[in-house]
Amino acid sequence: MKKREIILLLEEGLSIEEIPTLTNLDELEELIDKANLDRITASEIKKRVSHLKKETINHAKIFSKDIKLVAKSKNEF
Amino acid sequence: MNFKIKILKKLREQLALEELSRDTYYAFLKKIDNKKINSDIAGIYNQEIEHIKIVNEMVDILSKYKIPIKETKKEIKERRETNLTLKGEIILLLIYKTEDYIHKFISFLIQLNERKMIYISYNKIPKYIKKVLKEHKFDVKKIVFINGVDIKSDEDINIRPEDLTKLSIIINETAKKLKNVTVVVDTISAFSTYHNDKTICQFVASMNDRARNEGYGIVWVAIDEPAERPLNLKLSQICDKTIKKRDAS
Repeated sequence: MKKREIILLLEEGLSIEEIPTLTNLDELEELIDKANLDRITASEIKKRVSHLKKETINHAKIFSKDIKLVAKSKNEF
Repeated sequence: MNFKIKILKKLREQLALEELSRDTYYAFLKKIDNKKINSDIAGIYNQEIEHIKIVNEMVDILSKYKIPIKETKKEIKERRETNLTLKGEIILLLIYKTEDYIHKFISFLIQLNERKMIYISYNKIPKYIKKVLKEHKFDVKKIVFINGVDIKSDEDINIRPEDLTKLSIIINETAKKLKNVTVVVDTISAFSTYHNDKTICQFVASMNDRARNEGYGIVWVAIDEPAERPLNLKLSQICDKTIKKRDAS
């Protein structure tokens, strides 16, 4: 597979993680803050959302790093 | 619509996104034949499967929640409005933390809703940002998208990410045509995939000079990562104003 084709796939991955997924998680977090959920339920949901956000940000970082790795590589893949 | 219904709706959207990610990365694994990249993607793929379980758990917790969920009497105060006086000619460097970037950047863009805009999507496919902006009632017809990802799109102006000369010409020509426009570059940090810091700074300085001469504004969006800080520092010296981290909310 050519370098450029790999970069395109990785950019697709970065786009999915950074834009719709993180935005939706942020909006979810805002809604939970606004709702009058009891403390335990709110905490159970928020800790899961927080975990998803942390890993989604990490996915975006991995895609970003791999894009640079492939782009800077002198070899074809 | 009460909050329980709203949260469940958001959770269903999240489930669909996690499933989309899982299926997309599965397809990547079939196509890519590189040990390091495949190992990274396999790790992400496995976490997406885990994410689907987590979202389903949240749906379950909320579905079982019997006590009616009421809205708070006072809505949490709306996001603090930025006191940015974005006049046409300003050259602004916005630096976001990675974890805040998309959320705060979208809020920032929404403030520009009434302005004509040229949006340079450098390493992200414009269709995703368009979808999010439409969901926020943003009039995307007012935006000219320049697609810096090498997947051609009939709706947008397409350029190769390596070609800064062409990018500069396109921005200038489009800005001249539209007049009183704001150019948003998302993100200047991504330029380092193809260019070194010196080339990026020269490009930014040259674009800033042209923008000042022609009377349009530019917003350079940067990410606050350790590796990007030397570049961000240099860029802050050639922009009219720099807004960093949480100050950008």
